[in-house]
Amino acid sequence: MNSIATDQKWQKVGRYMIPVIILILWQIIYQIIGAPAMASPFHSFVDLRENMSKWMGDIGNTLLTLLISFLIASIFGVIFGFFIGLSPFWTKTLSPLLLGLYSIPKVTLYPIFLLIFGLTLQGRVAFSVFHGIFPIMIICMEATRTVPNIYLKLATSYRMSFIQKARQILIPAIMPQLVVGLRMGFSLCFLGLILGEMFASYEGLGHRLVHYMSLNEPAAILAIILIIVFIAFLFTFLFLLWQEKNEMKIGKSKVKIS
Amino acid sequence: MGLHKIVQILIVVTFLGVYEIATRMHWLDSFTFTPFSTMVLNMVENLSNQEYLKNHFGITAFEILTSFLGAVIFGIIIGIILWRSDFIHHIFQPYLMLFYAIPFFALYPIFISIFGVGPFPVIVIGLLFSMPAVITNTALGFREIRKVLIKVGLSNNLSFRQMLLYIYFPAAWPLIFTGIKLAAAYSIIGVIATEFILSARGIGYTISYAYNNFDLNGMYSSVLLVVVISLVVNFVLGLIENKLYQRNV
Amino acid sequence: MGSTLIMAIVIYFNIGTKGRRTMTDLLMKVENLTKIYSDGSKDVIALQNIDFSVEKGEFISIVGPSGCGKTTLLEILSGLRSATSGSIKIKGKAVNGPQDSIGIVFQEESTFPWRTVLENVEFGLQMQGKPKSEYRQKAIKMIELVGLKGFENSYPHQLSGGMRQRVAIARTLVTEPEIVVMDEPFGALDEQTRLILGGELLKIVEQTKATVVLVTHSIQEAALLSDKIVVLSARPGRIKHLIKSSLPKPRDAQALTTPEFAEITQKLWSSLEEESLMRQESNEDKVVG
Repeated sequence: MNSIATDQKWQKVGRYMIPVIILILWQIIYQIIGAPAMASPFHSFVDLRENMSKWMGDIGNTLLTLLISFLIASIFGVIFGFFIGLSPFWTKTLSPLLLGLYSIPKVTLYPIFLLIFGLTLQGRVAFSVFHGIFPIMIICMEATRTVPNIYLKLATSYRMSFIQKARQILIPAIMPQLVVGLRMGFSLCFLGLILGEMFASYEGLGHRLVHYMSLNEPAAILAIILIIVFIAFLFTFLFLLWQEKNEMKIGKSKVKIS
Repeated sequence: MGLHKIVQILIVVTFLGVYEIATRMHWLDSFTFTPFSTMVLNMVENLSNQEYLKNHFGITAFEILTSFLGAVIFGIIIGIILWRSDFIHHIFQPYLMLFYAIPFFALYPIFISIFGVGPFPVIVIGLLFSMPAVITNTALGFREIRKVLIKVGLSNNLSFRQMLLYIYFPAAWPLIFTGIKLAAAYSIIGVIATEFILSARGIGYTISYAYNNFDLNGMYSSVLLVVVISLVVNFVLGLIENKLYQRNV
Repeated sequence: MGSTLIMAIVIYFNIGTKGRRTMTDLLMKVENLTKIYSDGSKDVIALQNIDFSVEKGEFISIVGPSGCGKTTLLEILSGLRSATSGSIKIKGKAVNGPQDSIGIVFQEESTFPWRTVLENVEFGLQMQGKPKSEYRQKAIKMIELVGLKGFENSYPHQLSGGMRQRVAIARTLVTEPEIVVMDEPFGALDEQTRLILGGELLKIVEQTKATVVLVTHSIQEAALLSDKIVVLSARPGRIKHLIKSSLPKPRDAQALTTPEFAEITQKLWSSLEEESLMRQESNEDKVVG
């Protein structure tokens, strides 16, 4: 019992050491390269503190836009994925097409979005939705298709209507996978949004990033990156908690994050 | 089997056909959209142009191939380390999972600072972007090998080398290949996206350049080229996987 | 004088072979085998003072209630696990790891999905470094013996569960181990397939003259197939009974109806019932977790 407990202790320590190691590496790289190309962790954190209030507007803007695009991507992704998944024929037919679209480097289609939408909020939202909707749709499709037949037989034997079947059986059955898909969709929506803000926006975190790049202020650049990474981790962590809750319910054991 | 393929082809052809007509009939604004046929023609023209081939297509292909191979080789090695060492696996696992949550391209200023411009940062970004997929799938592939297959190997008194060659690798291969497929897709995305954002050469760059110079035809032809490359690579890998999957259900 | 000499020689050889036969008859001797698992604070005695011997050509079954340590015993017998104390000797030499003289067939699916049936069966011989010409021929013959002729180039996923177990058995037997250890090889199969494969196993064993140690929870199987049956008690696993079978050989479906069969199954059943009830009583105190 002793050796297992100490093992677990070391593992926990090891996990928390990784961010520390990254900070050390960061400092080392700064020593090597120096300003103005790079800024030290200390400078970046100071910069972050100083500018936090100034950047609040951009942070709020990004978050709001992200929320909108994620909602759109989720709703349409789930609905399309769900109904396509209900039909084995359409699943098999559309899967390869959707997977093909998913694998294309979407950033290259970015200029097309610009041409169509111009430098607008709609454009950024559209681009973001375009990124995030695919994993949601694809995973939802697969999940619906692989609902065990026995559940469907149960529904028929109870003479359930479609709405009842969907609410009581299908949706709970696909929930675990759906949550994974939503998590991936969120990350991609965020990626698409940041890219969009970097190139065609006058507000938002992505714009700020490019702004400070043109001013060549590495401390600010790194500070913004810290914010972006923090937002990414925060929401992913929340999704993982949701995922864990779902999986514990159905009895699937999962590795807990520290 | 046949019907699915037919419908797929029908969908694609119909979409392209409608698009072609729409652009030709100017229902779609010709300052925004070019006809598909023009795109194809321009793409082919570009590919037969020596300069384009050398300075852009060749560069991009080189960058993609290098980052892909690097990601696969280093990814498999690190994946094996994560398999053999429970400790290392445990401490890195959450970070591997969180890796793809970050909008990776927001980090590119860091890479510019460290590596400057040119093909090197592009390859590094492409490599770093695709490596975690290989690592996680490799580690998973080895860890999830059914214990009984390992017991068969042990009961036959195999050396570690024999175990690796005849049991571990063949059993883990399907997941490793999944990782390789993902690495190909991520390498293409990583390289092209980075070229688009910063480079002075490469297909990604030509798209950005063409857009900034209002060269619609040039832009679309390069976009089409990227789409074609991505589709072809993923299709070929999918075919290979199907052939492998047959034996390893 | 010539005939006396011949008689003397005949007598000598008779005595000699008898003596030699007695020595080589004893293939495996398990002495005082004990296995204790340490769970940090608690010690679990899986097996206690296991003693039995296996003669060449014998078919022994090991039966016992669930959790009595049957699988642990098998893993120790095949060298995959070490004992805490006691010894296992094959032909006088101690077993301390996997050896070529011991073959094992597992209960779970153990065929390699990435190899054809033929390549699966060849596996052991190939790993031993035998030349391809030799092992290919042997494998083909063995595949025919287990009734899978024609399936040499099929992949395991194309076969039924019963057929896959035949491949596993063929793979083990083709390396001609001195002893074949089987851990409930038919456990994952349906009843009819079990009976069929059990009968076929007897035929195969007869042809290859293999010595078999079979772990099973099926009383019928043990009674039908074995020369000797070792009954293990509930944990800690001790030898409760050693039953010698009086069923005449060769055995077939007819044997199921003989009074000897009924007698053996009756003995086994009452022995096991006792153990299973005892185990249930001790489990009722445990909290289900």
